[in-house]
Amino acid sequence: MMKDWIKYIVVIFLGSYLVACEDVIDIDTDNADALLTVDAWLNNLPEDQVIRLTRSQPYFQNEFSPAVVGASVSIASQSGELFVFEDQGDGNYIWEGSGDSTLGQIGSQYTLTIDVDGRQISSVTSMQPVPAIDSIVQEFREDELGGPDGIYAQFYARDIPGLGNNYWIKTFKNGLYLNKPEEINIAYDGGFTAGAEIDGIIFIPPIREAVNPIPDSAEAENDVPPYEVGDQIRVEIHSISPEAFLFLESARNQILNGSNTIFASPIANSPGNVYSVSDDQEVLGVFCVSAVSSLEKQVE
Amino acid sequence: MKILKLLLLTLIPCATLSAQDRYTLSGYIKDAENGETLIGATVYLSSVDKGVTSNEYGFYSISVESGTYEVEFGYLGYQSARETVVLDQNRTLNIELGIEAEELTEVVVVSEAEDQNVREIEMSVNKMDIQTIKSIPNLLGEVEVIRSLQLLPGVSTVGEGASGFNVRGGSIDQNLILLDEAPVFNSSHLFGFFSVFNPDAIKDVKLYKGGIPSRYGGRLASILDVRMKEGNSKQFSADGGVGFIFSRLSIEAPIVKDKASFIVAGRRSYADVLAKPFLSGNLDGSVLNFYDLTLKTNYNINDNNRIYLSGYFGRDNFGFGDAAGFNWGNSTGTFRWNHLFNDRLFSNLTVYFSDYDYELSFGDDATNKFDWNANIENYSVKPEFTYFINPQNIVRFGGQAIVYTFEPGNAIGVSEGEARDVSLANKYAIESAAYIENEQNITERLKVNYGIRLSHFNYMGKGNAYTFEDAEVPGERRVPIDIRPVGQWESIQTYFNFEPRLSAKYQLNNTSSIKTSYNRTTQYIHLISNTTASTPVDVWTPSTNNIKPQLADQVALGYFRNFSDNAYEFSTEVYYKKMRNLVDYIDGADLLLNEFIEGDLLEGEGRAYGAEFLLKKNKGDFTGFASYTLARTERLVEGINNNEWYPSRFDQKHSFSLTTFYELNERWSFGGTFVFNSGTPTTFATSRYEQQGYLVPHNGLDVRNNVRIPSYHRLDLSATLKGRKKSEDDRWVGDWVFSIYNVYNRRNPFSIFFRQDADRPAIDQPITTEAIQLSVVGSFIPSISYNFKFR
Repeated sequence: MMKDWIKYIVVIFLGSYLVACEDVIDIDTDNADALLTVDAWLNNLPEDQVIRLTRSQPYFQNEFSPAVVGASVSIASQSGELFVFEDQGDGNYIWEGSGDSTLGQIGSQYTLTIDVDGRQISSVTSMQPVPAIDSIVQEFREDELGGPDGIYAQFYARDIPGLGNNYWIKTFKNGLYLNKPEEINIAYDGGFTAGAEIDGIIFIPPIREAVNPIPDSAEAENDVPPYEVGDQIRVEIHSISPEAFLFLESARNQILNGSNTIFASPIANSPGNVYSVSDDQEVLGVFCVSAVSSLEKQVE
Repeated sequence: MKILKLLLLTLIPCATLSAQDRYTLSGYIKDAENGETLIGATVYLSSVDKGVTSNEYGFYSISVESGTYEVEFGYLGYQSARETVVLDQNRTLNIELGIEAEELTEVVVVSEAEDQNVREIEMSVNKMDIQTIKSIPNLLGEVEVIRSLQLLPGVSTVGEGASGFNVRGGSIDQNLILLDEAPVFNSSHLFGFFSVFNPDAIKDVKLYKGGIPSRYGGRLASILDVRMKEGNSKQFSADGGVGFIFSRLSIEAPIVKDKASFIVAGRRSYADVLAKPFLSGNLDGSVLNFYDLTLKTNYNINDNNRIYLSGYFGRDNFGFGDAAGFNWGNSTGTFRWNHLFNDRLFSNLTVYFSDYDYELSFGDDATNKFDWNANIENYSVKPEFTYFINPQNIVRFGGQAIVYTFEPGNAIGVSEGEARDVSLANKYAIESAAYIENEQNITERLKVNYGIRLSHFNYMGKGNAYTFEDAEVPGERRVPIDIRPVGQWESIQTYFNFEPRLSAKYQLNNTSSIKTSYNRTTQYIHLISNTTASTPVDVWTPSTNNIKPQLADQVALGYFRNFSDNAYEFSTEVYYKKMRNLVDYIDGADLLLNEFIEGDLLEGEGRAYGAEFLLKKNKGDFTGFASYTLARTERLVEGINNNEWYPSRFDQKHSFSLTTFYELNERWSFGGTFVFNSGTPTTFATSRYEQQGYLVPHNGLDVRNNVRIPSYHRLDLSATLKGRKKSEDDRWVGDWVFSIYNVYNRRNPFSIFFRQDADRPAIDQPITTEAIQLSVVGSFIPSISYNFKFR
């Protein structure tokens, strides 16, 4: 957030004075081994739970990641329940959730086990509590730091008392998930990071307001407002583990590092929590089981 | 202190013994026109081939046997003066030198001043007088001290627009930047584009990259000693200018003629005024400006006592309507008292205050806002003595105590009327030092300066002392296992260091010499910054029980040679520097408002080596200097780069610069600068993988700084049209300066980064990735400025 502000200042200044510029260039990167990637972000909603297995690929290879098929994938709970994920043959492994059968209980621990190509992969997580969303409010704003006039939204919820609660807030506009990296909205207690011990507070304004879509360049030029009358806003809070928070915090920063211009951070690998039990080779990705609270609102 | 006394006792007897029929000639050397004292002016007694130079306060002292002497006083760019002195008793002789008149440049009187390059013991030292700095073509026509220094060998920057500078492989916080003896913690306005030094108020700039005498300490890499003008003690004068960025005005005048004077110099940018048309309606309330005020006054009480009071205050302001505000700046204040105990014992007592702080605020109403400020503040007392024993020995000794208060962050967040104070506790420390050094002519050819500096650091309460668990894997976050409250003034950790310094010069002949030096330096306070360019919100931290002081050992060897009657100066040096306990950071370090920040820091080693070449042409219509550096600087940190050495972010193999000045006639002069730097290293991701539809970059080889960005080169030109004096009584002279920065319009890379396509990813398509080269200056930048003098 801090860096965003500085960036904003730099961009304004450089933009108006020094004509800073960005050029797309061709470069070669070193090759590294393709690594098994586990994408296992599950939740307690009554819907299909998907674990995706793929392999990493060269950074500039603009293709879907190659799928890993033929694995056996299951999750065991602390209390002895077993959730078996069916191989769909396209890298997806699915456990069918439904109204009376969901995955996960708050406070319970889960172990992921994957057998693939003779390797045994494992990870452990536990489901964290989630606060209810109190309300979503809309407001007409004349301007917002360079943004267009229009309807802006905010959600209200209060952090659960006690240090170390982590949340991932997901927003859907008219059923479409806001999936830009800039729109990743995560909270440590009610604030941004662990260092500042803000606890038990109503989520701070920048987190509350990060439910407004960030416009694409064409939308920005045409002053498209975040929301218009009739739009459907859905906000979900997913409780996440501290490991998942660290991963998202790092991944968000690394994906967007370029926009920090001259204040970029060093390149760092985002820390996952999935490991190989049978060998030393690195496995990428995160296993997390979230409790979800949600609220919807139609813009009036 | 005991060692000090002992050293003194061994030195003083030899002085008193030989002083029986010796007398001392001493005094101040000044500029005849405005009364400014001249630093480094020479005093030469030709009959005995002995000389000294004036010190930072313009004072000189030389003791020789009784007799009649022809004494020559010289200073580069000034007419030399000759005086016949009958030395049958101690004498005081204050000298005023006049600026070399145009017509005299043809008839060059070879004064000793001109071969200081070869004669002086100093090596790895670059002096830049303000006239040279003013002649260098600059970005938007603004005279720039720090950017000018970057043309010198061994001085570099991580990139255009980055604040600070790097000296011989040191990071930016390893430079001690002194403005009239007070340290300046952030030398930049607007990140790194302009420095805080107002050229109208600066007299002299000297950079020590090595061979640092023991009277200086506290930072690892360099000392930048910036001296302010005292103010014209002869008559009223005003200087000013109007440029694209700043408007400047300075006023100097005597308070009591030849006894007391002052200078007040101010600058203000009008970025906001100019930017307004470019800001869309809703940014109308934006504030964007920076300003600084520099003042100094001095009072010459009598021949033996002189006092100075100087201060600096500067600020950068950014604001976005009511929604957010951000400002930062330095302030310093220095009181100095020069006292002559006798003709040979000069003393200076400095008392200073220095502060750097910043403030941020978000939110426009009391129920939802965030206010944050942080600062570093220090007070210091520094007594210094110079004892001119005889022409063979000059002993300097003294000490310093600095009291630091670090406020790493006072922050209050209010969300819907509920306030949370997330401030961090202040940190306190006292740094103290004592030193003694002797500059000695051992033989006619061999001159040495040897000394020692003892430094001590006490990290104290009131606060908490933290103990951290060892990291499971090196390079990962360490968690606190014990927090111990500590009372006020109670010591948490102390450090003591012994810093030997030595330099030597051997005169090969009249035009050449070789010089060598060794120095150890220690640094007890550290700037916590892990971004490519340092940001104004980076905080300083003291050494603690978890952060050791940084140490460096440097050796250098140089060859100095002048040609063609000192018209050309040449020097070359090789150096090797080893650094220990450098501060580094874990991946994903949380450096702001983090109580357990020490657990996010790593400790590393560094080494830097290189060869530097500098050729200067000082005489004629066509002057200038060329510098070339071949260098390497590397880091070794456990947990980074597979535990192997890697180049630091500001490592540059080749740096070349050529700066030239040409005087066409009395009115027109031209300047040109060409710079070439090899690309700095950076790290590229090797792979990509997906999580929840996001494309995450991954460095599968775990290497750091393994690729080079393209090299940097740039040409700048300027032309100056000097104002014509219509008559001798004309009191107003105005100059026009026309300049073009980045003449051939090169988009020099600052960095190369990776990103996924900025627009919203489509669900059923693979995400596209691209490499982007960022250029801070994307085109050539012409400018016009007008400068005036009023007498």
